[in-house]
Order: sequence, then structure tokens, then C-alpha cells
Amino acid sequence: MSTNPWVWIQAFLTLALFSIIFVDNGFYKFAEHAYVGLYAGYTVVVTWFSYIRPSSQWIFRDHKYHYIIPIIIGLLIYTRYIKGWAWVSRYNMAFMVGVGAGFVLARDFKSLLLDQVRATFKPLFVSGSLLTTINNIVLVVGVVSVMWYFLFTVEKKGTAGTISSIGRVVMMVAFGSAFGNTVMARVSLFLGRLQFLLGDWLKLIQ
Amino acid sequence: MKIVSGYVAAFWLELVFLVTLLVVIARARKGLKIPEVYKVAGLDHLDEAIGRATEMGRPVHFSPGIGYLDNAQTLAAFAILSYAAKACARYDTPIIVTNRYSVIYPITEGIVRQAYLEVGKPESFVPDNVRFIAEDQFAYASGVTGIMNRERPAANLLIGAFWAESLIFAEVGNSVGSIQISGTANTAQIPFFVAACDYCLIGEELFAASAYLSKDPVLMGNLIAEDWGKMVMIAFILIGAILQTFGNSSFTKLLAK
Repeated sequence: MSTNPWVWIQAFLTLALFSIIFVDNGFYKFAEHAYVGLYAGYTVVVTWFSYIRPSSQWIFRDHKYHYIIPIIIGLLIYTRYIKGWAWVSRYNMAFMVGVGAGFVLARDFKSLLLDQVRATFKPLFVSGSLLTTINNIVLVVGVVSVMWYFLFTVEKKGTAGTISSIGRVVMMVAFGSAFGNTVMARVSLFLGRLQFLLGDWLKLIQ
Repeated sequence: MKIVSGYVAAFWLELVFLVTLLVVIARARKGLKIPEVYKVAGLDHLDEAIGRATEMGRPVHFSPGIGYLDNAQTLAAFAILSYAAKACARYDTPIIVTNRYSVIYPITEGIVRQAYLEVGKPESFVPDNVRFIAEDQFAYASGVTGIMNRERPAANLLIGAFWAESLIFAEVGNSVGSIQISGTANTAQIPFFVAACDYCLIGEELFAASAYLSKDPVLMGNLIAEDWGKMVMIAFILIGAILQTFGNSSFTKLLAK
């Protein structure tokens, strides 16, 4: 068995967290609250050293007074605790939601839409390669039918319904494959924990 | 002013899309005729899930996911939260909202408070039921898991952007006997929700659901314009594939400009 107290603490927390599989219990609650609490403390320290302290230094030490503008916008959030002024905090939120939405629009249109569409321009017949031909047809039909499935202004009846059903099947095949892949990854994470418990802690395996 | 090479086609298409979007939104706002939007299948079950929680006298749990404000899924989750909170307020069923980000927490709190106000029961709103858990992904997951185990919600609504915690939430929800409705556009997580939840809003159905439930002209206009955009893209794919079959790559090059 390990003589390192940190390994014992890790082993205890690992087992405490796994114990929820059987029933909610005090050990799990302790581990859960310790985790959440530690992270809350960590966030306070990171926020102080990465945001609050540097920005106050920029203003008071380096005399860069324009930094006070975002600080004022940020402080508006606390007006929600002042009766009669709570509505002011909505400007802060509106600003953040607007910036977020605008940022996504500019960033994603090309990379997540146009480039993907362009990558689907595959020849539907490749001379001398049956497999590539089949692969390309599956890709084009799959993408088109899945996109069709997500049309919400088209009633899915008749031919439209059939294309939509093909899209659904294509998605389910993709989901099944992704599910299997991720389950394998999770099993590998679990094995990592078992290796720690049996190896680093109990020294039963090398 | 010159458009950066490689972004010319994207710029013009985005411009056309934005103009279309503004026109459709303007028509929707004026109450003019716009195309009909068909109901997303999983939505019927939202009321059923909240009704079940009411009958059982147990709370509803809502997680808006772990995405930040720059994630469209988080914004879509807000509209669905508003609908769910109103239904809960109407039936006096507690709704527990768990948040990962401190910035999102006041927004969800505001949404739930407003929902209680709109159904005429502001005094029934319990601020403590909208909770900030932790900004770390797995600290949040651990906290939500604990809440679900202790408060045993009868309905578990997981709507928004989820990553590795998706299956953890869905499994715990399952183990405490919740009826589960999920919705995410994170393709890597949809399989887990499909497998572990009772109903799942797949990908863009999440955005359609938020538009459908809110009946907001901006969201409806967005959804319709997006639909037209998808139709254009389907046409592009078919044209591009056919041209490629005949050895013509001019269209591919045009979109790469």
C-alpha cells in the first residue's frame, strides 16, 4: 500500500465519488461539496489575480482610465440588488448576449457552414473505383437527407416524409457509432481510475 | 475596403441571408403572412413531463447546459426555460435551475422570476431554486448529480450545450425516475441523450423549439430564414456534386473565393 497521504486522499475521494453508484451517502456528499467548494475558492483567487487586480492596476498605477468603462458596465450587474434600479442590469446582459451572438455569426458562418457544404461536393461517379462512388453517394445523400430532416417549414408527408426518414436513419447510424466510440473512451477513463486504485494506492499491480 | 481572400463568398451569402432574415422578421412583426412552422415532436411532451411532476408533487429540474453566452444553444435554452417556468408557475410546481456560469445565473433567475410574474404568481417564486453551482465542468456535474439525487425531480429537462457531463446527468435522472427531455446541438452528445432520455430534441430542433414556444417574431423569422438558407445549401450541394461528377469544379472554386 502507498504511504503517500495525498494518494490516500485521492483514493478516498475516488471511492467516495464512485459510491453514488449504489446510494446517495455522506461520503459522496462530502466529496461533492469539497469539489464544488474548492473550485469556488479557486475561482475567487483566479478572478482576483487575473481580472480584478490587473484591471485596477491598469487604472490606478498605469493611469489607463479608459479601462473604467468596461468595469462600470460590469458593475451594472449588481444593480439588480437595488430596488427600483434592477432594470439597469439588463443592459449589461443585453450587451453580453449581443456581443456573443455577433461573435458566433462572424466566426461560424464560413467554417461551420460554407466550408462543410463545399466539402460535400463529391463526384457521384468515380471511374474505376466502385467503393469511392458508393462512399460519395452515401455522403451526398446522407447530408442532403439530414438537412431535409431539419426543415421546419416543410410538412413531412409523402416524398418529403421519405427523405426525412432517410435522414433520421442516417443520423441514428451516426449516433450509434459515436455512442460506441465514446463508451470505449469512458471505459478507458474508468480503467485509469482502477489502475490508480490497484496500482498507485494498493500496489497490487505494477 | 477589401474583403479578405477566402471570405468573399461567405460575406455575400451572409449578407443575403441577413437581408432575408430582416425582411422575414419585419413581416412577422407586422403580422403579415409568413410560412407555417410545424411543431417539433418532442415539444408535446414538455407539458406532459411538467404535468407528471405536478401529479407526483416533485420538482422539475432544468439545466441550460454548460455553454457560455456566445453559444446559440444557451440562448435557445432561455426561451424553453421561460416556457417551462411558466408552466411550473401555473401548476405551483417547483422548478430547480442549475447554472454553471455566474454570468448566466442572473439571466436564468430573471427568466424564472419573470415567468412567475407573467402568470400572476410572483409570490410563489423561490429565488433559492435557481442555483449557481460551479464554473468547473465536473464540479458542476458533481453538484447537479447531488441535487438530482437528493431532490429527485420528477422531470429532468436538459436543454442547451452539453459536453462530457451529458450522460452523467441523463443516467442520474434515469436512476431517480425522472421523465427526461433533452435537447442539444452538440453532435457528440446527442447519441447519449437519444439513448438515455425519454425524448430528445436533436440538433437544430432545439432552436426550432425555442422559436415555436416563444412565438417571438424575431425567433420565428430567424427559423424561417434559416430554413430557406438550408434549402439553398441543399441546392448548392446537389449542383456542386453534379458538376463535380462531370469534372467541373468551377462552383467549388467560386464558393472558396
